[in-house]
Amino acid sequence: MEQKRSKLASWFRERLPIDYLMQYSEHKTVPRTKDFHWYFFGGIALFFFLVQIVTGLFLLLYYKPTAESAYESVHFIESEVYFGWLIRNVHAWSANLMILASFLHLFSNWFLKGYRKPREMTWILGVLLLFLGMGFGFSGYLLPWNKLSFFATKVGIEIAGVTPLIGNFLMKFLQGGDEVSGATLTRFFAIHVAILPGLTLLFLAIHLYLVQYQGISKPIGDTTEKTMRFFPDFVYRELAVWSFCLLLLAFLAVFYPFDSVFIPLDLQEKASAFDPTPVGIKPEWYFMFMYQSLKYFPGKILGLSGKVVALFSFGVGGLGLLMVPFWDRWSSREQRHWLPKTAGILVILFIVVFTILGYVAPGH
Amino acid sequence: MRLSNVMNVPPTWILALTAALLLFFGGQVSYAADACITCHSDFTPELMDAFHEDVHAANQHPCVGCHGGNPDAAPDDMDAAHGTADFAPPPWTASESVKRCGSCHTQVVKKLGTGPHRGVLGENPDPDLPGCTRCHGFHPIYKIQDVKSPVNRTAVLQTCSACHADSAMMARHNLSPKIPNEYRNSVHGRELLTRDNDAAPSCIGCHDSHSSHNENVASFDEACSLCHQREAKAFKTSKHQRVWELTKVPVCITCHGSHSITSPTVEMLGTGPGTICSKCHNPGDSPDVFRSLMDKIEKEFTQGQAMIVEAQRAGKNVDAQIKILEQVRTQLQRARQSIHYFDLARFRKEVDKGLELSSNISTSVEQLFGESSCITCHRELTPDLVAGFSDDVHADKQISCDGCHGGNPLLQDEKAMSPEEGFIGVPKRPADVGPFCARCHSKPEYMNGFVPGISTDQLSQYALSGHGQALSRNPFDKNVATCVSCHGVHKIRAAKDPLSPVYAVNVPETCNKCHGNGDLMKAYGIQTNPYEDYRESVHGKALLDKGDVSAPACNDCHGNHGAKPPEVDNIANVCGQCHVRNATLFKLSVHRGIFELRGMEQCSSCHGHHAIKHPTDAMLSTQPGSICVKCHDPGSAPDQVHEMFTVLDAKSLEARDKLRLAESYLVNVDGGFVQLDKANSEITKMRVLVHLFDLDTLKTADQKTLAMLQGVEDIGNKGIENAMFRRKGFLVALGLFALFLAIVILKIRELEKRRKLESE
Repeated sequence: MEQKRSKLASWFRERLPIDYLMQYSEHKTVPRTKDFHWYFFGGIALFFFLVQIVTGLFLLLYYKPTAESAYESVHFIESEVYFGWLIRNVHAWSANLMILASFLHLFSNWFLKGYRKPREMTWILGVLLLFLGMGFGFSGYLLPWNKLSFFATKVGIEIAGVTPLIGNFLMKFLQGGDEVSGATLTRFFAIHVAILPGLTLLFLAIHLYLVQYQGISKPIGDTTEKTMRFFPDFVYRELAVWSFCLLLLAFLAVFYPFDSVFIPLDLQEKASAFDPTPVGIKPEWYFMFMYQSLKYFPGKILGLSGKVVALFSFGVGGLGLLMVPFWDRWSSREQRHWLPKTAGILVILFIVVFTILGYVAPGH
Repeated sequence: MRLSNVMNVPPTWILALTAALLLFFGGQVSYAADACITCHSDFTPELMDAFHEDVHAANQHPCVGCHGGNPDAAPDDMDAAHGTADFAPPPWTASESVKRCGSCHTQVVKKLGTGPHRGVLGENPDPDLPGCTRCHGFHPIYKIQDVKSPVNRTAVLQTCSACHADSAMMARHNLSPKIPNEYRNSVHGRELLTRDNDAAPSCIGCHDSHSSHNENVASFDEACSLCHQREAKAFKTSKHQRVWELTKVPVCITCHGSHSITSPTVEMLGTGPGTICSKCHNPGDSPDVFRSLMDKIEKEFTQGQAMIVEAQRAGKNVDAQIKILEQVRTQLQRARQSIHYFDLARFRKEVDKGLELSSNISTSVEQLFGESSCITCHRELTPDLVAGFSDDVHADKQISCDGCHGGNPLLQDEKAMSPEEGFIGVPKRPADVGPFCARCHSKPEYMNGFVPGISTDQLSQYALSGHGQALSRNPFDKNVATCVSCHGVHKIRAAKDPLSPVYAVNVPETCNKCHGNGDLMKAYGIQTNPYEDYRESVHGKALLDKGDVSAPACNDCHGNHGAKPPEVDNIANVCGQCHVRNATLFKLSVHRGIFELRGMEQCSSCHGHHAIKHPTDAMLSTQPGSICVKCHDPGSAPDQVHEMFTVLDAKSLEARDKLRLAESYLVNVDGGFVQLDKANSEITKMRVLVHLFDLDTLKTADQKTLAMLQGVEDIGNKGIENAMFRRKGFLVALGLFALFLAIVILKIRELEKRRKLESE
């Protein structure tokens, strides 16, 4: 038996760079700093993404991306397909947890300054991956084709339509016409299962390669030499965390079915373009802070439309986020500075406060 | 040396004197220079005196201009003066006078040649034909403008009448001798001769003095249009102009007459007897519409006039109203003129303007009085009545006191209530109340103006009702309900008004005012607790507690104005108005025949009359307190049906609980609730089906419903199973995770130890 196994191993060794990989993994280390536990969030986000791929593939077997059948196919998956309820709920929860983990991963790197030289590109790719993740969420939100999906998408696209110059084009491009319809669903489905996964896999591959190639950074001023071997030490720990995440997903899917928790009964019904926009339409929680903060912009600011100014501000904010490694000049000199830290805290506060306000503010 | 200096007179004095002398003498005929005048001043002094006023008197040689002769002859040489070839002494013949006058007045003679008197220009003219002097006179011939002239507008009729009123002469010429008299009596004649109206035409106003007799019909139009320009212009654009172009009728005189033109009246319009339009138009044609519109505006004008007069008599200042009336009059005139367009739409527009103006008269007159005299007095005498009337539905429709009670609210004091003014007062007997209200409420043509399609048979219905029949036995019975007993008086609200005593929710209390009075009802042998029973009934609670106006009140079962308890074998029809299926099934059931045989009341034998409670399964059995026990033995069909419903209800609850339990596990069981609703509907249908009183039919329905409920329960069970399965699955996953975690932790510990050893 042992001989057979070693023969099999040799067969693969002769054809694949297994030895190289094994050598690499033996030497690859992870710094064991006091902030070591923050290093897991990237892996958690990756794990949830992998869950999305697997569950997404299963859902693809039964989901029908047309206005006439989408709602019914989701209902079919949940009620008739063997473990369909599990796949669907895991997919829904994992999406949200993936974005949450991405945010935590981003902010942990912000404060730990994991973006400083030579890891600027890793940061940029990471931020782009976050944006892509939110794009996954936005496009996936429409696919169940219930009232909440329909009207939340309508509202979201209308906001995108405010963009100067290209707003109208953007609206029509996203809608696939003059209004949200079956064409929008098909388009969003294509974006969700083809375009975004392709881009994400590409960026993710580069991002992971860079992380592996450049190693994990240590916080500024941390002189500890303690390390941990990536394989198998870190990997075992990662596995434990991943299995916990999997259990969490199972727990949520069994005890807190996504629709029952997040969607009021009347909004769970099938979408109809003829219905008026119902009360209680909310975007996904990760867009809530932007949606809510829009409401505080006055109608006109210095002669410009308030919405345009808001969108511009978000655009500037997004660009600022992307360019953190470049405007935080001090980190490249291995120096701490109050500005990036304060900015980070303020951004977190902004997101948290406005997200909460989005749910509790009166008149919402 | 200056003459004035020599004469010692100022120069202005000299100039003034010179001018005076010139004027004085210049105005005098220089008789001294004319032989005719010199002679004839002696021989015919009265003629010469009269000649002073002649229009020709100012001419240089006035006599020879007409008579010829030699004015330069010696004054006493008559032969020389009269010996010229052109000398023409009077009397002249007509043609001679025309010749002589025509020597200067050439244009006039030319016109004369086109006129009806042109024969006078011929060789041997008819002696009846007039020359110039017959009309104009001679010695003196006055200016036409002079009132002494026989052809002055005021005298021309007389001048023309000299021939035209001569029957013999007119007979010779086939002309009517009545024309002058016709003209005299016409509107033109009266205006000119009686009222001295300069605008009115004389004979020559239409006919022209010397020329055309207006034989050409167009000329009539032209003649009329000299004064009546608006009407002529209107006519020329109208359809009638087109007709005239083809047929030469109608034209002005066709409708208005020629010499006997009277003031146009509304009676000319229309297609009725004596109208003008009926000459060409048939009954029902547009002239009738013109007529009705004209009647309307003329009536409004007259009424407006009358109102103003009344107001004036009452001592009010009506200056503003008179101004409005003048506007109405002007608009009326405009409307009359616009008739000549013969364009109904246009005419209607003018009439509407007039009507609008005249409505302002009545409004403003009413404002003068502030309020009607009824209100003024009764505000003091019966203040509650007046205060309440503002809420009355009649007040909304602008029907005031006089609308019901008659009289004239524009008059003050007792005069407003005089029988001459149509005052009716208050009905004397209770039996008179219905007819009093029915004066309006029984007339569909009147009531439709307020509420189209409103019923107007209340009085006839009332006559058949219990109330009506009681009053027919005793018209003075004050205890019997009349219109005002239910609807109120002087504060009557529409039945749709929630404050009305006959609004659905208020009807039971309204009826109870009498029907709840024991002493009152005793006399009629009627039970006195219907309201109390009704109040506690399912209908009463629905109507009075929940405000559900679809629930029946007294009138829905007993009728409105024809209120009467239904007959014993008609009760299913009454209840069947709402409970249609129940009534239909009952009529098909075996119970119908049995009830009829036994003289039992349909529906109410089981459900009661006024105290109808919500039916329960307890009614359906042979247990004490049930309904069926009255006729059925224990263990018979009612008990089986009761058992059916007991089982069904229990099953329904069970199924519902299962679904709720599944739902509590956050399992989607929406389909189950939909099925449950359907099953419960079937149970309700079965309760209606009971009224067929057929056990087999009920059993079939029961089986079907039980199967549905079982299906619901299965859905619930399946949902719970799913939930349990998921939880079990999670426990398994938890176990696996725990195991995995344990392995990983052990492995990590092992690695930690190894690393520690390696580092040592």
